[in-house]
Amino acid sequence: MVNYLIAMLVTVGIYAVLALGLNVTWGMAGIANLGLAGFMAVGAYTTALVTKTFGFSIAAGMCLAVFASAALGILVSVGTLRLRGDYLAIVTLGFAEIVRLIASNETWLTNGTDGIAGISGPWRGQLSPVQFNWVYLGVTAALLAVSLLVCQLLARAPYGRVLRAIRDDETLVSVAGKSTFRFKLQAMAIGAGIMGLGGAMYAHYISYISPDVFRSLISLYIFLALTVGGTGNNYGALFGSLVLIALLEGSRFVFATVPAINAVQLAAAREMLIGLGLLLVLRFAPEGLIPERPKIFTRAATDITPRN
Amino acid sequence: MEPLLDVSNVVKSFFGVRALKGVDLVIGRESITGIIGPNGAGKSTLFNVLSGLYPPDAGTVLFDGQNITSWPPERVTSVGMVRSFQIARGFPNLTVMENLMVYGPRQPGEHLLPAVLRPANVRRREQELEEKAYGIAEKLRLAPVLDHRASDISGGQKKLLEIGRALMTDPKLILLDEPMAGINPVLANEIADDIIQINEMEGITFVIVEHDMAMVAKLCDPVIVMAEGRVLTSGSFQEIVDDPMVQEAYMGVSP
Repeated sequence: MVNYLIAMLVTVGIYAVLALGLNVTWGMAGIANLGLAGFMAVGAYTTALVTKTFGFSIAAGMCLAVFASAALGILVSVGTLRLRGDYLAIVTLGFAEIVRLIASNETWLTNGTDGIAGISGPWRGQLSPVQFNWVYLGVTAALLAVSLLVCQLLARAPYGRVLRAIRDDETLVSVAGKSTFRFKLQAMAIGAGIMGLGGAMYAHYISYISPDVFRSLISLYIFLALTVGGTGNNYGALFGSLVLIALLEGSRFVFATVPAINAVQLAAAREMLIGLGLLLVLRFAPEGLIPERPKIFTRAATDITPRN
Repeated sequence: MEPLLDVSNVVKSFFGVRALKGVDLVIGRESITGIIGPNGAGKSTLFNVLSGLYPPDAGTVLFDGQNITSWPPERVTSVGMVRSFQIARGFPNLTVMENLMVYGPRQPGEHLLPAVLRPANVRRREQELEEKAYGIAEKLRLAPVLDHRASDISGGQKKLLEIGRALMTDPKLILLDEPMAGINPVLANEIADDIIQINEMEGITFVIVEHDMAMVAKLCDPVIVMAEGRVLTSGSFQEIVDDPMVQEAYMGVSP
């Protein structure tokens, strides 16, 4: 049971990293990026290939995964960022499918639909499965903390202010004297890089990846996590991932107590529960459970000059 | 002295409709110039071309001796010409303070590495911009709502924020698109006084599109009249009012 809980916490951590990446592009900059599964796949395959084929260390593999995904984020952006929101969503969704199809068909590189097995994990050989789970929980927590730190620094800097302004009114930001294209390109690269990190974390944890893992359902799950947690708020991304996994996994136990439900019905009921959860949050807390908070200007409280 | 803004023969069509049919005008330094004209005269299109939102089909725009024709908005703003919008825009989910700060120029913290590392020059610039934003907010009576979201302030305050944001860019010229439209006469008068004061104290040139003739009379000299995509005439407000050509453009008949 403890082992299961740790595994779930690791999953929460990986989802949270993915949600942080999505928060940079969608939450802060307002770029409708549905390509999360694609960037995640690129990260996972990059690290799996370089660690297995070239014997790179896991750390090096993860770094390369981040760079590969970020580079692809830039590549996708250059041609598409001038598109309006809904068109961009369709194009990025298509991009994720292309990545999955390449992974399925370029067998020489990716081993096709059989996937890649035996991806190394940190000290996996020397540790018992339970110990490994603990170690990986630590690794996940550390990588999540670094991602959160970077995202928080960006969000609170003047940079993040411009991103949120672009989300609200892009034309107005160019009238304000800023090149919105540069900001959006960078936001896509950072977001994609973090999504790639999430994919790499997944690969080294599960030790097996196949194109099937990176279906667009995962993009929707992460969107859901971010929306529930609070779009635009990094802590919302974390909390939303926790809620999502709690719903997904908790429903197992809840439904297990209902005798009349068989396994197939259970799977369908879980999806319905997720949908219901989203509807309830959107109805009663449309900005999410931890909404984005505007930055309060401190001098207004301490200023001693009289004001009318 | 050369004019601050020199527009010659600017043409702009939309799908065959010629919105601007060769506009020529000059704007003198530190003036408050009014642009009036009936609906469809091309005033808003002219502002969109001048501010860089639409490139013109033909013609040249010289600003402060520099050819800025077809420049994108961010470059136009960075050399000192910035516009406001007729229907107050603003960033609804940002506070009034943040709305002002986004318009602040030369903040190194808007680049990636300085944003993460936050060196001293980022903090210093942020402080300068905060001082400036605070001063502007006080002048425009926005200080009490600095921490409110821009979506939560009154219509009149949104109009003031339009002007405030423009002021943040250190402009030489502000293009105001109907700054008094849809607000009560008392506030309209206050805004007119603000504009006069900013013009006199800081030497900022204003070009104002406005339909409220009392305000145009109070604020603007000279006044440029546009009709059907061209400049019809220009002069002092009294000269314009007495001009039979202007009366015809507005009324459709010669008196």
